[in-house]
Amino acid sequence: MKPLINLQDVSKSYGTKWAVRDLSLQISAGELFACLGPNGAGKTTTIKMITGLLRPTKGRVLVADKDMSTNSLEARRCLSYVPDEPHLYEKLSGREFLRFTREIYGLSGADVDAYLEELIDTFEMREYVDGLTETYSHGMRQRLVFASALLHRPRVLVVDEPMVGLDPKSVRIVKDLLKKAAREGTAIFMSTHTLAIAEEMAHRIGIFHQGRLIRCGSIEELRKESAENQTLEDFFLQVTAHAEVADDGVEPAAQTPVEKRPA
Amino acid sequence: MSSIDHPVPISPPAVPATSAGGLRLRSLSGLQYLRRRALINTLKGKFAGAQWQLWMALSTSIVFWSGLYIMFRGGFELLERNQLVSSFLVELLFGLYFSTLLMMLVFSTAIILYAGLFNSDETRLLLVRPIPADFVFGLKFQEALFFSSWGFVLLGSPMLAAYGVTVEAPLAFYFLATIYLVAYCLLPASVGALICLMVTALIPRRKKEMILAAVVAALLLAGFMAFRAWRAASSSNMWLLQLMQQMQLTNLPFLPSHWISKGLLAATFEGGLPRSLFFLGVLVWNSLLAYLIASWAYAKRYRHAYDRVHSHNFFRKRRDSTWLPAVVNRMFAFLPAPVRVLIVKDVRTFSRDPVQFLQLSIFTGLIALYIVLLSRVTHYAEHPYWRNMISFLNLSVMALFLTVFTSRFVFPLLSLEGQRLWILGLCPIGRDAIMWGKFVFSSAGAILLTSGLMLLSTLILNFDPLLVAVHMSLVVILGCGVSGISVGLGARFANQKETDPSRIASGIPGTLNLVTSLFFIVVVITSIAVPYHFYSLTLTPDAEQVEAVRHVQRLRVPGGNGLEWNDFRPWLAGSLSLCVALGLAAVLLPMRLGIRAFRRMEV
Repeated sequence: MKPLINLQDVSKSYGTKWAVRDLSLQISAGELFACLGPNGAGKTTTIKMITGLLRPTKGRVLVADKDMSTNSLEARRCLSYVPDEPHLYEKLSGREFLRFTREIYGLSGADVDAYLEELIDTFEMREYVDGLTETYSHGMRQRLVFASALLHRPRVLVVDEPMVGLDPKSVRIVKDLLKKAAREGTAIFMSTHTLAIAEEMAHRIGIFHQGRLIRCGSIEELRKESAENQTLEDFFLQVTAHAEVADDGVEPAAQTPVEKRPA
Repeated sequence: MSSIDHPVPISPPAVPATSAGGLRLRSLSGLQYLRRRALINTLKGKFAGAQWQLWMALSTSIVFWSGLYIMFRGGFELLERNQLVSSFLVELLFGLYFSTLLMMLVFSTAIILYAGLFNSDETRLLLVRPIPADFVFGLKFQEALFFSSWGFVLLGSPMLAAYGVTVEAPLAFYFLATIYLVAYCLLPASVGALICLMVTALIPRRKKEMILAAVVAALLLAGFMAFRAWRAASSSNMWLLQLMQQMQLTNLPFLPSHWISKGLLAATFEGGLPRSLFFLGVLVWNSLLAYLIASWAYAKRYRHAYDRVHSHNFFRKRRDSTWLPAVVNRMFAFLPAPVRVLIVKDVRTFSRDPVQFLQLSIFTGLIALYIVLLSRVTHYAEHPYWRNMISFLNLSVMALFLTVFTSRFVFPLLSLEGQRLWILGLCPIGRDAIMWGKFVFSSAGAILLTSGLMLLSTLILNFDPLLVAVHMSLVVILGCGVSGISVGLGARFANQKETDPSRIASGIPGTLNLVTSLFFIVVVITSIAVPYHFYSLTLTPDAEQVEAVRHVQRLRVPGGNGLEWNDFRPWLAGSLSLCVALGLAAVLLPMRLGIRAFRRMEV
């Protein structure tokens, strides 16, 4: 099966600083990949390259087999992005924002309208969806952005810190939605600092550090590598600390990307 | 329906397969829907909310437009009375006016577009969606065009209307003038867009150096022009003639200012319509071509440029300068220490924003150029009557500069705190002190900037000490007054959601601030200029002017029977007192409004 997100030996530099180095990663249809890493590890840069906001300095980014640099319009048609701080048009209502999305993706017909209403219900937005988004709280905005991201049935979904600022009920809705989307064949790239969410939801977890993917595998594979009774948090802290030592030239880092397809 | 019971929606419909052309059309339809709904909702909100803001903006615009119309009409009538309305002179003036505006529109559109296309949340949202790059450009270009050229239309239309009425132009002139103005804005805006793309695509990693080079180039050009003007013939008449010859450069046949000047002049004659339509055709064709080129260039290179702008190394160590806090502490020793810290923060924030810094440099450069050119009219300044006229014209220019400075840079200060307002809100200082701190910072900056320029111009023109003292006092009054208005109204109408200072300044509250400041400077300058004008007449041996003074005295405006300085002293003293009172009112009333609003502002 061809991967829907395919990063081929990708590097990105900001001037003299390498934010991402030699990253090769493939995420297949139906796979939920969680990207972990301390601040400045290169997660956001990777997301920006997958979504086409930035271009890699080296390597290629393919989304649904389309090159993000040379065929970005087609690639972006298959993709949705939910940023951590979503921008909304303040002078549009939630429903108008969803309709704007519908128009942009060229969707029409009664089934699309029914699905739009369904999303409004699923995210429990009916009470406020006709008010201007300038009056929404962070959680309300995040729900709307999720609904808009799912409206065109993306084959690839990129999510940056999806649970930040959401109440427990919204967190539950989003988690269920992501699992359902993955089940239906969407490839999901999720960046998060919440290790428990990654542990609970991801088919594969990648740990980024200083621009490199230093560990990659399923939670079971990562557990095998960790000491007995070690939590993901302990393991994460251990491998990032280990990589720092290695970068100081004391001990080489083991880069162990383990290929794993979802069940 | 509960989300827990039914956590996920039914299977969504598939995205239809569409051709590339179909995709473009649908993107366009989406963007049109966005614009339409946003406009309707904004207007609904304006009418449903504080309507007084709308009416205030409308009425002040009408007053402003009428004032300009009356001024231009007076000017054109004066020229006509003296049989100076020749097509040569008017073409020259139109050429100068439109070429100056051309340059300003190029730069302002480039700056607004940079903020809109490369540094906004909206473009981040649009760029990850399947929208062609040239459509994103088109969307933001419309905004930039509107924000950069509404002032030009507001300023240009009364001038053209006044000219049309003066020369009794046919109705077609007014109709064509409107089309000319709109078409004329499109051309420099497109050029500005291309410059913006070129700068961002080629040299974003040397942004600071680029800006510095632009400032140096602008100053060199200004210096060269000033030097040429200054070196021109020593006789004032000869100098004027040479200056007019140089001004003809703005009317070279391949320049848009030439097409609009020629076309508008042709439209004022009954039989000139075909000729005017020809020039309109040239202008419209070139404007559309320029837009097409810009749009094509953005379709090809916008994403590349966006990537380059956001791929430079943002991290840069800043040296912890000690001189700035030391200077601020010394200058504002009378303020509480935390307020001085906030002033240091404001100075650092301002100086590290290249766009704002560039704009201030351009403003200051233009004023400096004006002062250098002023040195050529010293011949006229020997005569008391003209000296007085020139000095107050000079003061008016400085006051206008002050108004632009405070409206553009001070008014948005509190709005720009935006999401960071909690920092100020939680500071262990009273909110009143924060407001007064901003006022002191603004006043000091405004006064320092203008008093230096003012002193230079008075020295060049060799004014007498009394006139210098009066002018310097007025600079202080005006600096404090317009700062009070801008800080106060800026807090009263703070827009915490907007991050672009140029958009904050050009919104309805920003326009209200500008008009209030303009009204204040007009009242202050007029109340001093009138008595000083009559005083200057007492110094002239010109019989006709002496008679004019006697006429004023007969009207029992202050003064006795003679033509001595003492006759005008009470009037002048009264006017100065009035100015001080007006200055205090301009500080206290808006500041009171602003402080009240700031106290209520939620963090």
